[in-house]
Amino acid sequence: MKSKVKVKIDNVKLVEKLSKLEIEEKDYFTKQFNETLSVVEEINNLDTQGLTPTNHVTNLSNVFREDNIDEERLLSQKEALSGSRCVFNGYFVVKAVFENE
Amino acid sequence: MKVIKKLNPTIGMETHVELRTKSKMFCGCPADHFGKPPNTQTCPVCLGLPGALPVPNKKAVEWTIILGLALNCKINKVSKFDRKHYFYPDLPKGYQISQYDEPLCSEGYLDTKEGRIRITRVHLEEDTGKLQHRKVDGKNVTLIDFNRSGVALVEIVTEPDIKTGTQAKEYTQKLQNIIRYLEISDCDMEKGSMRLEANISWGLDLGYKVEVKNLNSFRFVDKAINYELERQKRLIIKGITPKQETRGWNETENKTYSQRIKEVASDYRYFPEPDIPPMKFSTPYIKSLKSYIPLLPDDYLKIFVNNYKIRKDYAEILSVRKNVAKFSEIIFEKGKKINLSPQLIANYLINQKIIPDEEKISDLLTKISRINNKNTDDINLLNEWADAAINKLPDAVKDYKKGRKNAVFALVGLVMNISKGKANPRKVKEIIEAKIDKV
Amino acid sequence: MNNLTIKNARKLFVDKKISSHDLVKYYLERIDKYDNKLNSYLTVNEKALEKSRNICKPPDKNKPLLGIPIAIKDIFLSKKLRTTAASKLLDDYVPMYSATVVERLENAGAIILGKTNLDAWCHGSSTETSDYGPTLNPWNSRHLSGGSSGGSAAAVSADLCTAAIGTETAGSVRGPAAWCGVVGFKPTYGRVSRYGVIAMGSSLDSPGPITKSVEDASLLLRIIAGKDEYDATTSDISVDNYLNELKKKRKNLRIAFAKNYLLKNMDDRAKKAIIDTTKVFKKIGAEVREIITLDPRYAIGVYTIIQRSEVSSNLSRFDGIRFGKDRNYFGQEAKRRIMLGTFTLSSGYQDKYYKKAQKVRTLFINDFKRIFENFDLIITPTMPGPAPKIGATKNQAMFGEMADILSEAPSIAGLPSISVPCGFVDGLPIGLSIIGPQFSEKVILKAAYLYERFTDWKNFKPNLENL
Repeated sequence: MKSKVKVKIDNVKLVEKLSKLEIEEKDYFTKQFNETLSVVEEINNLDTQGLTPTNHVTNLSNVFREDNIDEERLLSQKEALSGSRCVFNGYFVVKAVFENE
Repeated sequence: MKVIKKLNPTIGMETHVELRTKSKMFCGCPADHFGKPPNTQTCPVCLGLPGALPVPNKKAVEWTIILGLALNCKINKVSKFDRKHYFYPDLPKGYQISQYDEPLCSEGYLDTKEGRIRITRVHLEEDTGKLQHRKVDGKNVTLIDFNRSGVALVEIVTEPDIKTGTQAKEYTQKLQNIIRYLEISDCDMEKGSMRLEANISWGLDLGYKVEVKNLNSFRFVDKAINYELERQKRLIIKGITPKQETRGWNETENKTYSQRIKEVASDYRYFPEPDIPPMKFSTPYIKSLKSYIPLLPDDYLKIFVNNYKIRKDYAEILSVRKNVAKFSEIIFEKGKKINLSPQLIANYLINQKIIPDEEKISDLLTKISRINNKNTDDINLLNEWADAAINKLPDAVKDYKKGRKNAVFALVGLVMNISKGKANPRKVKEIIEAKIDKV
Repeated sequence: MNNLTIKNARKLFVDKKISSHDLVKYYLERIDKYDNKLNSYLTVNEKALEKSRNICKPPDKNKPLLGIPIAIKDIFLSKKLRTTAASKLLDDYVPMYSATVVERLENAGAIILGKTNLDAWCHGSSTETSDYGPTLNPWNSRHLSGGSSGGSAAAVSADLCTAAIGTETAGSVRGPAAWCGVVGFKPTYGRVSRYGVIAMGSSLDSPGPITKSVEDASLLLRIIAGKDEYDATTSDISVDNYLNELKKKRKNLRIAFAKNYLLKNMDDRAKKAIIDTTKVFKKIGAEVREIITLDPRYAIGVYTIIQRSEVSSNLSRFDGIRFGKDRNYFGQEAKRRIMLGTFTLSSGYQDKYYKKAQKVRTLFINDFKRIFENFDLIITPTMPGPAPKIGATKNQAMFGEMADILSEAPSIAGLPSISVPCGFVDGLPIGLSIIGPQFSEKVILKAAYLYERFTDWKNFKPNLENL
C-alpha cells in the first residue's frame, strides 16, 4: 500500500528548526523535497516482512577500549581552541544562552 | 460543585552519576575534570572535531552492568548505543551518544520503608561540557569548557512509584550508598558527580508532569517535592491542569520556579550509533560480573541485625559507608572473642563517632573494655545485681546471717556471672553485706 | 618522469635516476601550468618541496613510499595543513590532527603533495557542488571529472601526482576514476580506517586509492588498510600482501555479469565496451555468466535515505563554535541533504523511511550473498555512461544519487569493488566495475590486474594541451 507523503512549507519550517538551518526560496525547496521523496518512496513497494534492519554491515560486536589514558591524542589548550573565532581565558565563547535540556 | 478526581502523588526520579573511570567514555582523555583549567583535557573525539570517532570504554560498560545487577535489574543480552540529537553549545557533536531502546539494564527495583520503587532502566551515555554565564566586555556571554565533555555518565530512571518527598529522599540516599559501595563513582552532589531530577504530578491520567531540576542535596529533594505537590494541588483544586514544564528549586526562597515549557516530546531523532558495533553479553559473562559485587548496605544491615543483634537504627548508621560497615564487622568479631558484646561496641562507635582506621582495633577494644568495666562502679547497677543475687540464693543469705561469712562469695560469684564479669567484686561484696545486714 | 606509477617511481629512486625532489618539482610545475584550469587541487602543500629535499634514501621495506608524492582528497584531516571539505564553511580550517590514513601514508614515507577538490562534504558525483568550482575532466574540459573524489581522479589522470586517495560512500572513488580513465578502488567497509575523515555516511564511507595502475592500488591499499584502535568499525581480519597476491596463481574465476546493470538508457557504445570485457575475461580463463540481481533501482531509495540521515547527523557538529564558520555557510546541496536526512529520522517518519531503508538494505545484502554462493565476482559498468557536460544536470534534486545508481547496491552491502578503464566513448573514458564479497580485495585486484595486462587502456593518457 503506497502512501504518498506530501511535504508542505510548514513541515519544511519545522525541519529547518530541527536542523538549525535557514532555507531561502522555501517554495522551490519544498518542490524539490517532494520530488526526492517520491523517488525514495519506491522502497515501500518491497516486502520486508520479517527482515531485521541492518544497522552495521560489519559483523563486529563488543568493540571496546581499555580504561587507559591516551596521552597521544590529548590536545593542549591552545590546540583545542585553535579553530575557534572567539575565545576568552581558555574558554570558547558564544552569545549568552539560557537554561537547557 | 467541583468534583476532584482521585489524586495520587506520582513521582519518578532520574539520577545521573559520573563514573570514576580513569578515562572518558569514548576516548582516552582523563575523566577527572574537577578543578582543572578549562579545555586542557580534550581530544578530537570529546571536542567533537570533524572526523573523530568514538570507541567505548570497557570498564564503564562493566560498571554499569554491575550497578544494574546491584539494583536487581535484568541485563539485556544485546545492547547498543544510539545518537540523541539536539543543538546546544555544551554538546559538541550536536548529538549525545546515549542509549535509547536497548539499554544495558532494565526492570530492577530498590526497596524503601514506604515500599518498593521499580527501576525502569540503567543506561550509559556521555556527559556534556560545562557552561558558565558571564559578562565580558559588557556583553552577556556563555563560556564553554569541554573538560567534562565525554565523561562516562550512568542514568538511572525509576517508574513513577514514589509517593512522598521522604521516600524520594530515602531512595536517593540508598542509591548513593550502593553506588559508593560499588566504588564506581564518588557520587557527590556538591561536585556534580551525582545529579538529580524529579518528575512530579498528581497522576499519570491527568496528562501532565513537571520536571524539577537543581536538586543538589537530599534536603532539597524532600522540600522541593513537597512544595511542588502542594503547588500543583492548589491549581488542580481550582480546576487548572498544571503546565507541563521544567522547574528549578530556589533554595533561598524555598520554592520551585519555572525554567521553560517542556515540549510534550522533543524530537531527538534517536537512531542506532553507526560508529559503534552492538554489544552482546553471554550469561557466563554476566555471571562473572555479578561476582564483583561486594556486600551491599542492605546486606550489612541484615548481618548486623540478625547476626549481631544490633538495634536497627544503629545498624542503619553503621551500614551507610562501606569502610565503616567493614570495620564494624571486624571489630564485632574481635570483640566477641574477648566477651565484648557487639551491641556495646556499636553503642561506643556511634556515640563516640569513631572514624575507622584512625585507631587500631585492639586499642579501641581495650578502651571499650575499660569503660565497660568502669560502669561497674555504677551503684545502681551493682545494687540491682546484688538484689538479684540475694533473691536467687536465699540459702546463702541464711548461711551468712547464721555467721558463715564465706557464704557471701557465692552471692558475689553469682553477681559476677549476671554482670558477665563486669562487676567490681570488692564493691559488690560490700553492697551485699550491707544489704544483708540491714535486713 | 612522465606518468610515473608508484612502481616506476620507486625503481627510478632506487636506481638513483631521479630523486624525490625532482619528482615533486615536476608535479609542482605541472600544477602551476595546468591546474588553474583543471582545478584539481584546493591546497598545495608548501612544505612538500622541502620535505622531498631531505630525502636521501630510496624506498625500502620499512618505508615503501619514501619520497612518493601523493594527493589527498580534502575530506581527510591533515595536521597543520588546511582542510576544507571543499566548503567555505571550513575555508580557513587548519586541523590539529591527521586522519589515520594520512598518518599511515606519511609513516610509509609518502609526501603529501596537496589536498584535492571534491563535491563539498562529498555531496555529489561531479565536484560541481564544490564551493571552489568544479574540477574539469582532463580528457575534455567541457565535461565533468566526476565526484565526489573528482580532484583526486583528475590529478592522477593529468599526472599532477603519482597517486591519490579518495573516499567512496557510493561511487565517489570509482565514478570519477571511470570518467577520468584511471583505477579507483573502494575497499570493504571497515577495511580502512575512517578516523579523521570528515564523516558523510558513517555506515558507508570507505577511503580508497585512485591510481594509474592496479599494482599501485594494491600497494597503497596494503599500507592504509587494517584495524585502527581509533575506529571501532574497522575489522581485525589480517591485511593481505595485495601486491604479492597479484602474482599468485589463482584457480579460474567464476564471474557474474549483472545484465540488469546495463541500463536501458545507456549509450550503445558504452554497452558494447562493457560486453567486450566479458570476452577478455573468458580469454583469461574465467567463466562468465549472466545474472539478474535485485533491481538496483531500489538501492537509490535505500542509499539516499540512509546516507542523508547519517549526513544530517554528522553535520550537526558544524555549529561554528569550535571550528569553522556558522551553518549559514553550508551550500545549497548540503542544506538539501541535511533537511531530507533530518526529516527521514524525525518522529512519525523514521519508521517509514529510515527503518524501512535499513530493512531493504538487508534484502540487498542477502541478494549479494546468494549470488556469491555461486560466483567469485560480479562485473558491471561503473557509471551509466561517460562524463556528462558541465552543468547538464543542474536542477536535478538527486543528480548525485541517480548517477551512482550502479554503485549504490554494493555500497549499502559494504562490498569492495574496483573500477578499471575499459574503453572510450567520444574520447571520454568509461570504466568497468568488479565487485566481490566482503574482504575479497585480493581476488578483485587479481581479476583487475589480469584484465589490465590483457588490454592496453592504461596506456592512453589525456592531452592537457587541449584544456
